[in-house]
Amino acid sequence: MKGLGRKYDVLLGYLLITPVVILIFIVIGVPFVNAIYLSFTDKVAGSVPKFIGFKNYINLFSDPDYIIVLKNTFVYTFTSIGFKLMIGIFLAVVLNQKFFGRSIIRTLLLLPWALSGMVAAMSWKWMYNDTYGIINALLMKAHIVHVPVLWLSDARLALISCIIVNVWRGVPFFFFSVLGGLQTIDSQMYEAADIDGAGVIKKFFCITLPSLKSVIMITTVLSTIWTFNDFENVFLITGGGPLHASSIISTYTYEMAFLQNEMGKAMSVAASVIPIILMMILIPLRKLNKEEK
Amino acid sequence: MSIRKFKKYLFIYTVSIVALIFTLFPFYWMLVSSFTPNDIMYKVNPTLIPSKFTFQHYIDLFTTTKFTTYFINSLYVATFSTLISIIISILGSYSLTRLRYRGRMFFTKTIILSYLLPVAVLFIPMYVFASRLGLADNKNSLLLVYPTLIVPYCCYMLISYFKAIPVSLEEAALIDGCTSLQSLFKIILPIALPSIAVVATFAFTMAWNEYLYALVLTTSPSQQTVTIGIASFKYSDQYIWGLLMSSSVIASIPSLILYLLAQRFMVGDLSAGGVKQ
Amino acid sequence: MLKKSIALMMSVLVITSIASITSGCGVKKADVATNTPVKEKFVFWDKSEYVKAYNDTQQQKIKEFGEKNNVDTEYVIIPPSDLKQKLTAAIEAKNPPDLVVTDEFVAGQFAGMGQLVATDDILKQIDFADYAKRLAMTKGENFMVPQALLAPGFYLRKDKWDAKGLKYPETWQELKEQAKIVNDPKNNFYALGLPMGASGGGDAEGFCRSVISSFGGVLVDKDSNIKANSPQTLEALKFISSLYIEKLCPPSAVTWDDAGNNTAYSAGTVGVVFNSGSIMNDIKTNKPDINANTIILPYPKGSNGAFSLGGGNVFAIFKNGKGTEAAKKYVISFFEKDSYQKIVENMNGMWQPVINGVDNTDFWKKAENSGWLANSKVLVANSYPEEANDFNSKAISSQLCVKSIQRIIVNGMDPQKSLDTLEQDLKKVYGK
Repeated sequence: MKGLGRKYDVLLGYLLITPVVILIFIVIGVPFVNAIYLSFTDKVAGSVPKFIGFKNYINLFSDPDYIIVLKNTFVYTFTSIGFKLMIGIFLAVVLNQKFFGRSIIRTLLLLPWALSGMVAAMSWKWMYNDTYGIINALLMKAHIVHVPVLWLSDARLALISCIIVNVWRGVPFFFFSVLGGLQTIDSQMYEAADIDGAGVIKKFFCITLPSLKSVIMITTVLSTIWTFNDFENVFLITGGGPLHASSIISTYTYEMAFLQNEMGKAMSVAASVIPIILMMILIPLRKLNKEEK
Repeated sequence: MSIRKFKKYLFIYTVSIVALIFTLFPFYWMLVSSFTPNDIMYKVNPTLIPSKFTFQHYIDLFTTTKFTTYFINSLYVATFSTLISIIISILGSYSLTRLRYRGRMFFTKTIILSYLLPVAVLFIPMYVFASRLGLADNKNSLLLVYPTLIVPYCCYMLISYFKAIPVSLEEAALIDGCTSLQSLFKIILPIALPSIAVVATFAFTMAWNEYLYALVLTTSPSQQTVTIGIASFKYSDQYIWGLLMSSSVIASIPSLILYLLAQRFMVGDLSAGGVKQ
Repeated sequence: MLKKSIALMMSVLVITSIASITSGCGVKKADVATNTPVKEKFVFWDKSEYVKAYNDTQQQKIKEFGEKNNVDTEYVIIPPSDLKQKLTAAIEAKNPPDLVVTDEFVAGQFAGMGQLVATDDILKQIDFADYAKRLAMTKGENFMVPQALLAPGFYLRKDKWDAKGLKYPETWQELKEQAKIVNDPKNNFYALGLPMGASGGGDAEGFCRSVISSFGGVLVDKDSNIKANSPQTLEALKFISSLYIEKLCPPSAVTWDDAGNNTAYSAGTVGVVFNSGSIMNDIKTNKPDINANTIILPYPKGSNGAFSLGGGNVFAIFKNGKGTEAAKKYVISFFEKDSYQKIVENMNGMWQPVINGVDNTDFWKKAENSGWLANSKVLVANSYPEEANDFNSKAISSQLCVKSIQRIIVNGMDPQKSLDTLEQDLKKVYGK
């Protein structure tokens, strides 16, 4: 009985995974390979690409803008993720309790994610404006600042302004995902801890967090990749300016492709960070797999 | 009510209010702007509550633009791509977590391939690919392409949720003579349903808000989605804020409704969990 | 196990590469050989205009054209910020539209990629004004058909100037001196609304080049020699930077795209903008008080005179489209004098005509419109003094002048150093 079951299971396994495989290897795979190939050419739109080997990549490393952009991308990604993670977990734990109005409050807190990235960016851009923006108006009325804060045009603040919007938009994802994970934790563990006299903080660090490890890991990895490749947010708020102070890999790629008409170079910029993204995924995943064994 | 309980509720409500203010303020501003007449739209000293109020932007939105068509298209595309993706992902995730076969770990790792290159780079080769399949300027091409964005996310989330469900539950059923597929439908799915609801809600939002693929894969207004519609209210150097804001408000509604429905599953105790050792 | 995974991965990669390379040789569904001639299809991607009457009129005309000439027509309105992505994707997939309306510098880039049909035959049949003919050209050859000129205007809030008893500025220096007097940041009013953002768009780069030319600077001369690194250009760069350093422009202007100055002027937060008639259209409808206080002046002079740089909309016909002949016919029919005149006048001064014989009307005699018409006749190309070609299209699109100013005002770079970098950037673009 078991032998037959195993063969059936293997076939079933392959069958069930087939749609995913087709999606990944063909629908994404073909354009992906195409894009990688183009990164080794001098492709310009409409022309026939000529193979030039690693030239695009070599030029990248001597491009000072590329270094700035890479640095910005790391700062943008890791700062955003850090805040989204902390705030998301905090909110999920606090709002998992039963209280009046919980449904409405939780739903409202998900709004930023429901909003289109473009609209969120444009609304925040308007709010950040130094002459008619509401943020500066309120800050000045409350006498917190005396001159308008240059959210978008000060080279030091531009990236931070984008990070704030990214965190604003991304917290719901962490919040809701962790909330989902909290549902599967056995309440008996908490009851046992209560009997032992454990306080709220101890319960959080010894029961809640460890049980959420898997969910947190996956959510963080996914969000990190998405944040790393985020485009609309930065492009629409600051355009990557001033002078690349807030430019990240995706906006730099766009600039290469559509403002300088260099498709080959643009592809190489995007492809150059693939090893980094791979590392960001494989290292946590490997840790997760190890812990399961 | 004991002091302890009072403190607890005070804390919860304080956190909620602060979170709500920070979260909702931009949305409040969007809502208010959508009802603000054009002549006081960019006042130098903006006030929290506008002095004048108008429905004109909403009226214009539905009478002078093709917004209704865009909305219906988005509903169609987002719903079906989510459904397709969820089904594919449930089957795939079950296969990757519960069944054993060669290449299982390999497939798990390669799912992430979809996210390695940003859409900003993939959309042109993707358009060429879709065009060769005869799907250029067709909203059905999005049904093929959106799953590439959604399925990896769903798979990874579902893999972690499925892994959290103890194998012992299924073993009982398998011994009783259930096949693996039956155990998927009868045991795993009911338990994982809240998690699947969460994942599906986010998947729907991802499809609903997607811009770049919709931009290149659809051209005629009869095929376009809501995000393209919103973007069309920006001319070369003019933003039509009234229409932009009103269309954004309307466009946020479906996701909101879904969240309201889905978060009913977030009961907070374990009646939906049912995981007892 | 590792070896096996690698082998599997390699084979998959090889298969997909072969698939992607050979899929180019597949038969497209549309290429079905039949004996009966397929009805010609004409696809037109038009520019989406704020004045809806334009797109409505165009749609109507297309429909009538299709019926009269027995062709299938498809009329699509594309917002300008989306056009390049869609066109690039369509060209790559080898199914571009037949006819497109866009800015001349955008079309110029596609001409440079060899994607456009030569238009000499169309141009011969229509009486284009001499000053508009350059819109059709790139690299000295005709690849586009001018549709309308979009002359920029020098908008000034006369109430702010009158309040300080100032006469209106005629030179750049006067403008700067007066701006200092009118500037009022404490009350959220900046004298100058000059965008200097580098995220695409034409306003900022056009402004820089206007100033450089009027100071006697030359970026690239008629024979494509790079002459950017001169004392005159340096003086121009210093002048422009000073406007930002001395806080005569809103600080956020350094990230403004083309819509930034529109919004600022309509909000009443700036006193001066250089922009096409789009702002005029907006304030006439929505901000009558600002409109009443606006005057359109001739461009300020520098030591070398006054230069207003700009271009306009053009028709571009794509080579690989299937309805090329229909597109050509349609373009010719567009310039029928009465209908063209009406279309232009519906744009409320934002458009100026490109053909002869339509501007002697009451519309253009009105004070609020005559300035735009006069401007359109002295407009020079953004690439002045060089004629349009793919190099300067790329230089303009990459906003090299804007970046040189940004380096000075954002990074505090020495102006001469920034100018040296500008020269290097130009050399890179021109391949020297």
